[in-house]
Amino acid sequence: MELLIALTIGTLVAGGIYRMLGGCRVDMIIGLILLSQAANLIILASGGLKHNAAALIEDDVDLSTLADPLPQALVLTAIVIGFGILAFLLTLLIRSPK
Amino acid sequence: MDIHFLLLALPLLTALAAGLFPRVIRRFPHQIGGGIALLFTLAAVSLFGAIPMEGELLWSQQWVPALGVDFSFRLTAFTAWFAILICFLGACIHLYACAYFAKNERLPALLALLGCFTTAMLGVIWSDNFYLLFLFWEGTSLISFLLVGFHHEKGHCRDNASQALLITMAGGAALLAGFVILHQTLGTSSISALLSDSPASLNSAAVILIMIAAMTKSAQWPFHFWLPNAMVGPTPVSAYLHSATMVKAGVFLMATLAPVLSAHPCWTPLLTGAGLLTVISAILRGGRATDLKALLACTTLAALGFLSILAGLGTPAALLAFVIFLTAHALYKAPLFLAAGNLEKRFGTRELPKLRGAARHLPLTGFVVVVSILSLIGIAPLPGFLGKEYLLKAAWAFSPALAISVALAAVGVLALGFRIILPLLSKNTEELETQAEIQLPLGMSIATLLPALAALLLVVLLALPLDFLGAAARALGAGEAVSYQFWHGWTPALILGLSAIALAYLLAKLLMKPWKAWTPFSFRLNFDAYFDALISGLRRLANLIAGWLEQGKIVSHLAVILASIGLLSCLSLDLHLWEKLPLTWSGESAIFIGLTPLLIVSTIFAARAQKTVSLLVSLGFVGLIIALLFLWFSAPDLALTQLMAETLILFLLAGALAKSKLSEVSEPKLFRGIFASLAGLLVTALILKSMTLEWDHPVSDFYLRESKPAAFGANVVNVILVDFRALDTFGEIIVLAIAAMGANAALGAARNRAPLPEPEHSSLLRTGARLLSYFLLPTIIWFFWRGHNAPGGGFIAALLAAAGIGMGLLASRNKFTPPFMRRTALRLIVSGLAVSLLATILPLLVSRPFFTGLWLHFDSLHLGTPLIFDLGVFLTVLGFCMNYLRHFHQRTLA
Repeated sequence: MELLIALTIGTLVAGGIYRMLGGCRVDMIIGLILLSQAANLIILASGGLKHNAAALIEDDVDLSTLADPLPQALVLTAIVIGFGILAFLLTLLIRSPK
Repeated sequence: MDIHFLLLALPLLTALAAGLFPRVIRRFPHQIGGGIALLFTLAAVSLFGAIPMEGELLWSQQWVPALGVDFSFRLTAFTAWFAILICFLGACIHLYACAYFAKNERLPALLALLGCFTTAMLGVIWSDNFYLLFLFWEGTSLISFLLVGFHHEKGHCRDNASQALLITMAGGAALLAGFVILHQTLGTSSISALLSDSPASLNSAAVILIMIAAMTKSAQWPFHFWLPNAMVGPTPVSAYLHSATMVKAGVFLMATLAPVLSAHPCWTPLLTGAGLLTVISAILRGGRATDLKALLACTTLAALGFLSILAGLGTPAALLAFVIFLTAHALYKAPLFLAAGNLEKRFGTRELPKLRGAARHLPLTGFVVVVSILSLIGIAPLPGFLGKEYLLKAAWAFSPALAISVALAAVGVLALGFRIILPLLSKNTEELETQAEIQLPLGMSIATLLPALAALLLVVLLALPLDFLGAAARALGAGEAVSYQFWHGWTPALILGLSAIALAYLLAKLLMKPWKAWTPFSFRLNFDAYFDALISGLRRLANLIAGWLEQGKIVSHLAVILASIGLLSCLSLDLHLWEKLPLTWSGESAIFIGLTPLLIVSTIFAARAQKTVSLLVSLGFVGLIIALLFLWFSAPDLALTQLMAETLILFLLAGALAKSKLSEVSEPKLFRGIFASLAGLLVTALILKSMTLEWDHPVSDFYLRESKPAAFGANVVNVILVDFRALDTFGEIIVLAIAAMGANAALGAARNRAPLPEPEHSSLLRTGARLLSYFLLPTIIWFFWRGHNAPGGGFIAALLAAAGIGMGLLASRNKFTPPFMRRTALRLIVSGLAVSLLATILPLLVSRPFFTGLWLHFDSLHLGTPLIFDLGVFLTVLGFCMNYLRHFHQRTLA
């Protein structure tokens, strides 16, 4: 599992950088999207990956088996902020002279 | 605190006044000059009355105690005497400058600079703290740059000033480094503590760095060439720099630290060697010079060389000689420079061959020149005699060989003195072009005369039993026994001195005629050229690097940045850890194993897509699969957020890219591919490494533990967002609000845009959208409400609502007109921020800390301010999305 997810993130980074080096402004933005997806996954992975262990607290549940909620909270804000940055970048793309 | 420490501020005040009232100065230059001179002279006299004959006065104020930087000053007999010289010569220089530049527009600027410079110089000699001294030291370098480059409209003035600046600033950097090392190794940053402790072992690097600093400042070989070049400054500036300030700061530092640092084996040989070489190069240079100021500059260089030798010896006798020589030099060099200025003003030239007999036409200036040159040559009983006498005596006491070489060097210097005086006194005045109509201003004459008179006064003072120079030498660490007298019998020093004078006279007489070819051989070492080559080499190197790094394309910038990040990350790779990798395939389900190849393939598609549609589809796939991965990895909130955000991103991208074509690929694909693959591999390796590490997560544990009891929420992720770390979220929504405003600024408010025409072929879409909207509203409320205990919350609900509005925009344009969207978006953002702010300050009303959650409990229902905060988040994010949706939607269809 670890190897697979690491490879996936590596591909996302490679794809983002490949796109960024394309040379035009749209490429830059697309590359940034891919890179931020990769970054989100990295943050999530850094907290340890667990299946079927969402951080939802019910009675009589062992807290140590739950997924780490902190990276999730970070990634959630990162997604929204990334969306905001992307929207603003697209605004600049539209406004900038050709 | 001794009142005299306040003297530091006096020149600064005159500078301030000069800067504030330039018109007054331009109107009454002579009066102002006289006033300043009077002030400075009074300061010098009052200091003279307050020379501490024993010990030292300290005054200290903490500044940055953690770094050992204190605002501390130290007044000893030596620093007081030095300050007297600075103040007194400063008085003469101010007086002279006001008369010299009486008609110059920029006189106020010059006075301001001179005032600051005087303060900086006083600061250098009075500072008791390493770093404070360094600050003042750099201050003198910087201000002298401005002073030397005063005629900045001339190119060579700028060049020479920046040469001086570069060399002295490089020395300043060395000084700081040396001080830091001393401070670190000895644990004190106070000069008085350093001197009183006399540490047993010294760090060689520190000693050498400090020596280099002092040598650059005092223009010692091989840094000597900047000083003659600095002659391009105005005459009063040169007089000041050469007599009591700037170049003396270097030898001051040497002499102050000599008692401690001379214990280091490098100190004496390096400084005496550099000093001798400086004297020799000064003689060689002066031999060719015919410009009066340039010749004087060479004699200064030579004097600095002698002072450096004395500081290098560091014996009690040498320190006494240092004090006397320094004083004598200051008092003859300043009037000589000022006299040179007088001659230039009167006869329009500084070339000695054209100034033959000039002294006879200007009796007052002539008198000053004669007295000063006699002092330079060392005729008893002028101070220069004592200086030379004690110099030779100290050298003889150290080693007769050194004394003889010093005496031989002195022959050359004295010959330079004769070279100045003999033509000026010449009876043959044919070549002199008198510009009779020019009268020297009174201020200039007085200012020239004053220091020469002071030299004569000093002779009287030295004859009295005041012993202030002895006290100064003792303050430098010369011990108790040191004293001075005019006559101490037929010593080797006296004989050496007398024979040097005789030889010098012969030399000057013999070689006087052929002016140009006085130096018997051409001096090959051209330091100016070396310096220029060094600077231009550095510039070429910088251009080379810059040209290599910056090729004017964003791609090359990016590649450089990414490659640097990659190389730095390589350092943290640790291949040993791979053995610990849990490379097991157990417990994998087919779903997960199927998802990752899909993601990899769609990423590759997204990276290579050349058409907008294929790009959007592949990007959508990437986002979708990542959402599923989030779900798989127990992050339902993330999955929901990602899903909604991806929808909106696609909407915006479609709007932005609809009109723009993806341009042709310019970079070679192979290079991009290799670069990107390497980066991907590196990231993969780093992630694998991070997965092998195990660490504590006390913060996460705390959140998991306290979420239910303290924040009454079962969904820990949402609780973190709206309660534990609500401040971060608050900052985030403010950022979003700003981004929304930024889009409005960039794309225009679209206030009066008419609604777009209704699309024709959309009856199915419209009906479907209406049907969907009936479900959507309750769903949004449900998602919002359940957020605290189950996946959902303000962010997700807002993105969901925004996606619904996006759909509405596509379906029905009558309802979502541009003005409506704009109004609603703004209102949502403002009210969202207001609501979340309200949630944060409500606790303050009941005297609880900012952001504390307040709760009402109804059985199993818990209502609290975090819920209100989440509502604010919902409103802001929705407003933000609507704002962007309207801009991009209009663009798609416009």
